Amino acid sequence: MTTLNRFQILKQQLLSTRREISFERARYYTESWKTTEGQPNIIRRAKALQHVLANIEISIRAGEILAGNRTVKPRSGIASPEMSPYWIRDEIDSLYCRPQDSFYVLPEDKEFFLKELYPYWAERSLKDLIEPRLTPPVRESIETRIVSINQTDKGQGHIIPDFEKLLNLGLDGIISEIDVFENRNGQNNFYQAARICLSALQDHIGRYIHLLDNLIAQEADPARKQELVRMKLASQSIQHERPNSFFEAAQLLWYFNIALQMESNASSISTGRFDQWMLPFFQKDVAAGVSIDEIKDTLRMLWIKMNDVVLLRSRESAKYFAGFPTGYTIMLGGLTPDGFGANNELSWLILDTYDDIRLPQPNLGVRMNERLSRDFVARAAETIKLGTGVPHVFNDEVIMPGLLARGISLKDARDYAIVGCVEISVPGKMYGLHDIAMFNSPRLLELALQKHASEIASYDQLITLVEKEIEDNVALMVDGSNQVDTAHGQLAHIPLLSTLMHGCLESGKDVVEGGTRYNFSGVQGIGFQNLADSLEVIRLLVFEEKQLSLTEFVKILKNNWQGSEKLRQQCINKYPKYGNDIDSVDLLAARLLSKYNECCETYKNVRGGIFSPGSYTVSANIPLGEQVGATADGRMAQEQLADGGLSPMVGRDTHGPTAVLKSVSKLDHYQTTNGSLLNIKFHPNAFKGDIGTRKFVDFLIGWMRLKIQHIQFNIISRETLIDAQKHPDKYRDLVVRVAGYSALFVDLNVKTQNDIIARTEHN
Amino acid sequence: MNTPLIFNIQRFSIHDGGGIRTIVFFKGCPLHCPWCSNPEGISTKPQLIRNNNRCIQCSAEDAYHCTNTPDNCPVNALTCCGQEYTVDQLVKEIASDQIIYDEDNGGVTFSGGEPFLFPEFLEQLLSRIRPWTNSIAVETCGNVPFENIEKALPYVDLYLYDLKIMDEEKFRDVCGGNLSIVISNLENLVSLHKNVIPRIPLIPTFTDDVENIDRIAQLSLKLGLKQVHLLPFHQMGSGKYENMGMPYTLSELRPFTDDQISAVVSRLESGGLQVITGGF
Repeated sequence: MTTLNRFQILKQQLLSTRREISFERARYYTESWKTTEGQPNIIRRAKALQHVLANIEISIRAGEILAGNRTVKPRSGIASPEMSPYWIRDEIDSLYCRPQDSFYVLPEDKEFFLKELYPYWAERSLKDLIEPRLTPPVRESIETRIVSINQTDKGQGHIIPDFEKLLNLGLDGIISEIDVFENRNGQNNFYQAARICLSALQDHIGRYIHLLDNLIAQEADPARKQELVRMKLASQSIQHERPNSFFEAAQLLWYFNIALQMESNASSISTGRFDQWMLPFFQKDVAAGVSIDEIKDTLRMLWIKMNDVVLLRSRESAKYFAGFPTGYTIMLGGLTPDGFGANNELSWLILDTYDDIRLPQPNLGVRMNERLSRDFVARAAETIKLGTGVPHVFNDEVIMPGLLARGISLKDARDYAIVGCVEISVPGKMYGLHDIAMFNSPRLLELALQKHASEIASYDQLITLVEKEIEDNVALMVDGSNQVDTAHGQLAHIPLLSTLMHGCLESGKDVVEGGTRYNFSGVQGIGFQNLADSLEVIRLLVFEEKQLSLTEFVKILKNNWQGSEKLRQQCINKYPKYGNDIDSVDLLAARLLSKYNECCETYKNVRGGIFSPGSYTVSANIPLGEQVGATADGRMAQEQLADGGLSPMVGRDTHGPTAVLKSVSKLDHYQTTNGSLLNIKFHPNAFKGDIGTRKFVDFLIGWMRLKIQHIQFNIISRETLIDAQKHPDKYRDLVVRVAGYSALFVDLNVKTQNDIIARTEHN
Repeated sequence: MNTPLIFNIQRFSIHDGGGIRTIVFFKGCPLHCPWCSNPEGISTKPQLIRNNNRCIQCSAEDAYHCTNTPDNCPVNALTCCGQEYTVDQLVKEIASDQIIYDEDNGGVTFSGGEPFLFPEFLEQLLSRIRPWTNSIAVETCGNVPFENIEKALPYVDLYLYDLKIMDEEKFRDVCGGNLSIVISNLENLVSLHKNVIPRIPLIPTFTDDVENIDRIAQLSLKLGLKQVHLLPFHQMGSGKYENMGMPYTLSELRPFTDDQISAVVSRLESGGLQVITGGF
């Protein structure tokens, strides 16, 4: 089997299979939990993991060259009823036909869940621990949809373990470390739990060695036999000792990842700076004569495997995080501990092999800075131009100072990486509870106007009211988040992962108990673009031009613009909108987002850290939009909110991508230390060929100098252009190359649009 | 001072000069070439544009019959083309993307219309932006008094200089220009500035005959120019004529095939010129 052929087959295998739910993990977890009643929860969690790893069915799939699968059938969802059995019960019949992220449930599995799992976990789950802790005002803020509190029904993720330590010490090395600290600090439940987990993982690897033995004995094809033998030898080598080669390092990394997924069925246990800590293994292999092709195969295999792990989420959660953002997020480039540009030969190979696979995972990102070689930036641009939106780009020049201001040390700030989508973290040292809550600011304005419109006599009074509402609701969001955090500390321990977090072994505490070095709670301000656009319309239309009273306007909004289409169009087209480099509205967005940020950062969480504000939506701008009525910026009720967190409202930016960058840059990106997100769309013609790549790099450098945290690109296809022709209102910001000039696509006549669509196809 | 109206400031232009550029379009041109893709740049006066694609029929059956003004059209289907700027205002507009176009060979391009119709204004503007602007380019038809061009000489990095119809009479009849002025200005300019690139709009029946192409090549070579840009005919600007109520007379012409364009490129190259099709 030729190399690329192998990976195409593996890729097809992944994508062609019907996704199912596996209740195997839940079965063994529950079996164990029933036998450990009365013991400390952290020990119970460790024993449950041990029981899962000892019994769950394992497999080596045809053609695989790295061992370790979370489930036997590809891309299965696994359930964690110990976190919440309720939503699974409510949704078990609709999982297969729901619009986003569907899964098939076998009839016997459904019966098992309803008869065995649900009755046991009802009243015992994490959800049951959290619900009674939420006070009436917090509940009200959640019910009115201003605040949403996440992770009430799932375990811990959004963290980057110290994989460098894993690869340097090996599993026995970590166990010895536990011994050292236990001798120093005395025995405790955490050390005991951590030891149970690590030896359970070693035994789990032992099961793979045994399975490989059987497969080797049965294998007739000598070439395949050789591959199986290689897997077995690597597994034997790393079952206890540190890895000796790139291949062994990848194998250990993957086994550990599988076990982490079993421990906490949670999104975004992210990979971090793979090109930095895998480099020594790469260099050693190359010096020993291992071929680059062999290294590339290992990388490709790893990328495929990262797509095998998909997350089962509730219907609502799947809307917020649509399309399985599992979060094997890898950051390339950045800075060395001494502050030099950190791209290396391996960073290039990672992009090369990603280009061969082109799947959603790994979610590659590039950390850009003044000292990163432009050559590498150009290479990254080439991959972005393929149109998958990968890699996205992060800006060291603003993220690092932001981290320093939060008390992160210089060396740790230079080592930051991204968790999940855009959340900023320090590998092996930060538990940022990055996605604990979202704050829906247009909804806040809607409710404030409905309550107080008749009392508001001036624009200044309105702004004061909005700022007061932000303060009050942030306080409630903080309260709710801390209750969830506390419950996690009691019931969602992750002792295995904690062994790879700096500070946990030293302090003898699990991550959820505040054991690691940096402890934040990340809370996202959403829709500040719509908020600013709306307030700017009200300022001009109501208070300056006095075209109608605020009460009248609120009534129109309540009626969802019914009979007021002309006014709606006026509100969309005649007043400044965020995203066009117009100070009045951009600075208003900046002021209100800063107000939110500064409110958040005054609060402490239960692990000794503070609340760290962010501004990103993932796909939540759609469900959060469903919760907001018509807004003064011309948006209809239930329509989506502005995406990203930083991007202008769809269709409202009409002055091209540089004006967008300028608007976005007016927000204070030093404050949003939990991360932020900017989407930009381009037609593939914009950056065609080598000259195009060069201009793409120019654009990225401009973006970097504007001190914007993040950017990701959509390179638009022909299909999209056709859709744009059908729904021009959604694509008002699409810039196309016409001939001697560029223009907004929607401003061209149909004939010209057709011409451009046809031309794109030729390309 | 003769103050121009500006009909467009196009930021993030990546096909009209090196790097990322901001293009400032001056309204008003001494020529009226029938293939012009910026017909709103011909008249120096403000003009009403009716873009029916945007019309929501709030006051009339379509934008062409609407009696609204640009101010009270809620969707900007009616707009006024041509806006007055002071030098200060224009400097501010140009500077807004400076941090982005500063890289590589990016910068500002003055186009139109014809920027050299407004020499004093242009000179003031150029002297203000020169200290901090990476690259300054001007697109010109050359059909202006040479002193207008001369004033800008100390500030400009690159001239994109149109050569269209090389027959005195035909140029006058079709475009309304004076060929001997265009040629003598080019000769003067080349003697004073090293960075001049002729741009040839390749238009069926107007500029594409072998004789015309050869004359452009001969002139360019005689002046020691090494590179020309070839801009093949397209009808992308035709919608603008409709929006402005201007007749578009070239709708019957067919665009060139790739082979036809290659033949022209080869002809120009055989004389020793480097040809870039479609500009940068």
